[in-house]
Amino acid sequence: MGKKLIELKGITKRYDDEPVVDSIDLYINENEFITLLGPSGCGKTTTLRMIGGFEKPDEGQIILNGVVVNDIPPYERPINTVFQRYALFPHLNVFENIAFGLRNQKIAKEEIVSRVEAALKLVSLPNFAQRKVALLSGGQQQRIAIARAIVNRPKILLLDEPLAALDLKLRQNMQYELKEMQRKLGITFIYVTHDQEEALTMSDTIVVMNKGKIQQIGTPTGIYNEPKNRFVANFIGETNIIQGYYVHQNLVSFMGVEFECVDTHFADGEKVDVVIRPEDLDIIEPEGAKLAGIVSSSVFKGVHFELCVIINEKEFVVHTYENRPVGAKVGLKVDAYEIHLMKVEQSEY
Amino acid sequence: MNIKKLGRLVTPYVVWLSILVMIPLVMMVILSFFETRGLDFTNATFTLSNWFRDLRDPSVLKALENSFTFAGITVAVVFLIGYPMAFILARSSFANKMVILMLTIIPMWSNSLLRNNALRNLFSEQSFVNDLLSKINLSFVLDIKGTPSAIIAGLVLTFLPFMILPVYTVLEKMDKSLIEASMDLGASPIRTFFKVTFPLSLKGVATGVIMVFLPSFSGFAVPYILGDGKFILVGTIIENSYNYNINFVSTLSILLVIIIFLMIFFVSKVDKEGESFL
Amino acid sequence: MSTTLAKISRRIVLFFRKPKVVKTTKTLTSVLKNFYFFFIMFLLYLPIIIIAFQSLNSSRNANRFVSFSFKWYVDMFSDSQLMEVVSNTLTNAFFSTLLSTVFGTMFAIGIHSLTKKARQKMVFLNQIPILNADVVTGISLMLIFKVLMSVFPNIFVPLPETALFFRVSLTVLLSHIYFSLPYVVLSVLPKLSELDPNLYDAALDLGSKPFDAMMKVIIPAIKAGIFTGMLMAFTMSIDDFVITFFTSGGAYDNVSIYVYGQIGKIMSPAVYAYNTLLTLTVVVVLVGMYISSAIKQKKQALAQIQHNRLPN
Repeated sequence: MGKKLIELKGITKRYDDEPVVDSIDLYINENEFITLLGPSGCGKTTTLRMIGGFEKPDEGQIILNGVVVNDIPPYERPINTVFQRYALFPHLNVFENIAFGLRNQKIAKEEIVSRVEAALKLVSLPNFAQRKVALLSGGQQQRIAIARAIVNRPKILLLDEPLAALDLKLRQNMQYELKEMQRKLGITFIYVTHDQEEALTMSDTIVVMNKGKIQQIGTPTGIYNEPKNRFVANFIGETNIIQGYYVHQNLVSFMGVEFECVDTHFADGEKVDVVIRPEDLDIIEPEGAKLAGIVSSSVFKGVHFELCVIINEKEFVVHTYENRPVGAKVGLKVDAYEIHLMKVEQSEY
Repeated sequence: MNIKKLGRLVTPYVVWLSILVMIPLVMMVILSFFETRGLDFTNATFTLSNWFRDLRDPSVLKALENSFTFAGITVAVVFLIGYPMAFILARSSFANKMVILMLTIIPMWSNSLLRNNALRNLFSEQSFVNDLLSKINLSFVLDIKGTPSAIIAGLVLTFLPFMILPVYTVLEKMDKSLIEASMDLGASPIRTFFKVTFPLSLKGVATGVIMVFLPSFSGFAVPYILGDGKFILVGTIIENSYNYNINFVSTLSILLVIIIFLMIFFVSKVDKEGESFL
Repeated sequence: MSTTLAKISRRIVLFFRKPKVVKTTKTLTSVLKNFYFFFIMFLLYLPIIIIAFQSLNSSRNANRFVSFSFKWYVDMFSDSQLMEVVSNTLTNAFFSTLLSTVFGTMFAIGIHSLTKKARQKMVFLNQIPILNADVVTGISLMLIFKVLMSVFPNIFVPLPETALFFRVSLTVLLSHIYFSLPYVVLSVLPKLSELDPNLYDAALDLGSKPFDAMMKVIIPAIKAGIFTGMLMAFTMSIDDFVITFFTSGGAYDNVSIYVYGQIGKIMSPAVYAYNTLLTLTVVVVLVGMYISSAIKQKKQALAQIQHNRLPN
């Protein structure tokens, strides 16, 4: 990764005295694809809007290339935004929409024409310059919005749930294309979404937010495999969370049974939350299994079956390729490296 | 909703509008090419003189000129005053925009002729207001009754809400992210106003222009009250002669209809969906 | 040369970004904005204020304020000429508002259920009475009524009080319905398009007869639009001058026509009293409604907050 491009230091934003963003610290490197992920109302869009300059933080500093930019208006920041509902100007055609930012920079006419054409080519809509914006499909509008932003060669591109309005198939295609585009252009992308799959697919770094606070920063695999707390574990993919305690090094106890594990940084006897992903549980014969229970439901999910197994009144979600009938007795097995332990948060109990 | 069945509810309205719009229009066109005694066609004679002689009469031409001048200036002034008003209203952070809006509309509930009559009094040499002010040793004299300025002042104050309301509606409905997008793309607030906000509010302006121009152009009460009867407008001619020269009145009415159509035509160029009227 | 210019302009930009300068310019513009707003508002209300003061003048002399008096607010009721035009105005406004609200709502529902193209055509047709100049509308309706006179010779003669308790002129009433209807349609249509398109079908599905479904489901859902339309219809009717002027046949004067006839003469301050009373009534009604709806909203918001605070 390149050098530090933008840094947020102790950023707080309140609406009516309610903090929506609560003293967050974050830095973003050059040429990074970073995603702010969280449920609606978690403060991710507000954070993005502060970076874009549409909102001023109540506390803290936004530092761009070493300069505090808190008071710099959006039109003087080397940052462009792809808005959620695209915000294409309905009174201008495609060409004029894309040329809008270039005209504000008083760039020569010939250069504007060539840059707009290049941008249209990049979003694979080369012959659309004279079209009316209102007559474009959602996917096309989306591409024009991206072209309009990147034609200005911003240092940072902000994307506020840009794919939310598209249907599933188109969304998946665009995810791939956006990632490609970012690689080609070498621009930092800051992407906001509530869709965990989107975040996992595209990002170099994911910032999980909830209630105005950053819950975890990490790579997609890091966040998925080693969630820091219950919120992250629940928000990223399906998961089983079981209360247990740390017996001693490499040994954890839950459901009344002791399991080997690889986590080490806990005190002996400390209470922990045990996280096991549904696909990490294997179905085995009930005889001799450490965990054994009854299948209470089975749903076909296309590639796999989603079984619900009840063990001592606790539900376990299991993803398996082989179906088991409801009512069947089954055993569950989990490997040591697939057991992830989390510190117990005080507030949860 | 159940499309076919409920659609039938419209039929009486179509009939009603066709009768009350189309028949009089056809009648006026016919009447404008004849000389009749009222609606009595027994001794009617075909003539083009309504269109080609009477319309070119110097007094009629003067009335047309007056109407255009007064209405044109009124529209310009109303726009210059009303647009900023609408803009302030739409952008105000004051929680109760409805209240402010209501305040703009309330004057319309006071009889407009009485309001203009109050202005007529205000604009006279010995006004009621001046008399009131003199009791606290102040004075205010604006003796313009019977001048074009008085008429324009009356028209402006009467029709100002008709400009504020449609412009306000458009500005209020405007997608705020368009403004943000413009700023994001490097346009300063002033540039954003001229490149995005204003072009997008043209629909409202067009509606306002029509709603102000037409009554200012064709009305006769305000010019009579504030002009002291010294100015003849198109409306004045219609008012004075509708009882005895229905042929020429029809000619003038058709002329007004043509002007209205031209205006709507120009507006539809701005507003393709035809959705912004009110 | 151009670089120095750029430097200077950059300096100016930076100057205006100093926090202190930002604050001063902000307060300055907001002061200017407020001044402008209140000045224009003052101009809009000036005539109304003058009328109010004139209604409190003890003298008939319109140019001199002699002393405060409420006598015109009493005397207006014994001014038979004024009472007649007031009664004509209000009676006519009442009936035309009632009828155009009922029919306008019905037509709006009909228009809403048309296909898109037909709907656009109808919306355009509906604009005609609004966009047409009053003078042309007045002359047009007068012509129609004159034609109808050959069938109904007494069409311009107002119905006597015995028929509807008040004097009603059919020609004036029809004309007012004609120009009020479009406003009701225009106010109701947007509310209809906000509705869930399946609402009416859901009511039918649950066993309501079409008319009941309309009254119990659609009408309550669009009542805000109906009310706005009603208010506009009433406003247009009581303030109309031109169209009544041409369609009354000279036999049915309203307040505007009466005032027009009195211009330049000595007008009884009772007219001012009536007008002030009417404006005040409307303001009081609107303020009352606003307050009651504000209280309702506040209660709902409070309930919402309490609901949110409940532990999950």
